[in-house]
Amino acid sequence: MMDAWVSLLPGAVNGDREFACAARFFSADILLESGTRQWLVRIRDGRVAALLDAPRFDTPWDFALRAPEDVWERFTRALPPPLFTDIWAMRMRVPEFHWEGNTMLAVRHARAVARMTELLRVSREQCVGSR
Amino acid sequence: MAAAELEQAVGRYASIDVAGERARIYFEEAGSGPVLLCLHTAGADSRQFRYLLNDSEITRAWRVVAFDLPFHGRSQPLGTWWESPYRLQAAHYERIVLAVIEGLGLGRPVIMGCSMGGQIVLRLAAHHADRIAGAIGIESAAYVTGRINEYLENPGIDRCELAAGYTLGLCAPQSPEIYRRENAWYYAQGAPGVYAGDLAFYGEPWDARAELARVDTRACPVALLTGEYDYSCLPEATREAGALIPGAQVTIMPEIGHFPMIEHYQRFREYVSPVLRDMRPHAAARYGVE
Repeated sequence: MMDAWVSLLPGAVNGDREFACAARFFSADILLESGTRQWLVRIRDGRVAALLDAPRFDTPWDFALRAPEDVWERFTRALPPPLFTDIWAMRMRVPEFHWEGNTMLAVRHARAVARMTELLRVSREQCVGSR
Repeated sequence: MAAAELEQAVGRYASIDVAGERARIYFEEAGSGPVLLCLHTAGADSRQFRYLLNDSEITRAWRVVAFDLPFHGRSQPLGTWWESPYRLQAAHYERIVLAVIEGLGLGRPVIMGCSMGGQIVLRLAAHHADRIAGAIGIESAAYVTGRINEYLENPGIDRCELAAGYTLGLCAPQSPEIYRRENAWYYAQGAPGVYAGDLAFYGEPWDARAELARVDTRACPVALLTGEYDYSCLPEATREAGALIPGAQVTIMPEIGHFPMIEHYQRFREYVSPVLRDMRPHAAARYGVE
């Protein structure tokens, strides 16, 4: 489920005007984790330069966003339920959601990071539409 | 070229004595009748009430007044503010509100505040019921944890950007995007450290439970309205506050987040209008008008 959404994320992010505006000075390697699945989203100068599926343990990353799949499922609904509306809400109220690593870098570019995660809703929608 | 449209809301400055200091306060007002005094959220300013101030159905029955706290919006900071981090304290906040009521000659207003404003109105209802005619708490809580976020005052971070993005996510997803962005824009204009310094007023945790039992809703009616999507002040925290205040009216507003009066005013007015209608006779009797 999440596999398909994440595979469409680079296109959704690179085609998004708000992300382009918010991420102009943003480069980072972000580990995205859903249950036992992991991806590394490589952002360079405000664009997704690469998406690594199941990165090896020795692939370094700057910060990680981790949650069980059911948390991402609620977060990525077109109309998310209360507490699952954005990553700040989940950081405060959803204990299974973890935000770790160089959080200073993540918070410096918090709007870009939040927007990237919001775009998972767009890629999920695209998956539904293409079925 | 189309003629300019003047809004009914008018902004002014006033110099008011606050705890031994002359404070220059900016406020906006519209309408006539008993006063509805509005208190903005942490790190924001009175522009959050601009839709209420321009709602002629409300201002036909009320003189609506909204002011910027010192350090916020167009009000000046107080004291030697460059020598210490800004920290709002409950007793000081309370003194400022009472000084504005007295200084502007507002009589006994109904006082309506959101978030930190929603907390101080409960404190005023508990300790100064003789100075106000009613309290409307928007996103008010009895007990809340988890709200402190030191990134909001970390100089290694663009705090304007962070406050804007952070408050964007505090709105309900159903709220129209233009209004959510408007609120975020106001937040981006706050001075560094003020949002975090306001949040410090809530303490960690915020615990008003002992005070709430003092509120006498016969002397000072209390209504609490909280958005279903507020993750900062959770609906259950408002219900808890309501349960501790005998006679308080509690409304949980579907499809609304932490900033009802700015993120979705048309929806918010469906809930606040009946509250104001119910409070008006009590307020008018105390204000000395019909």
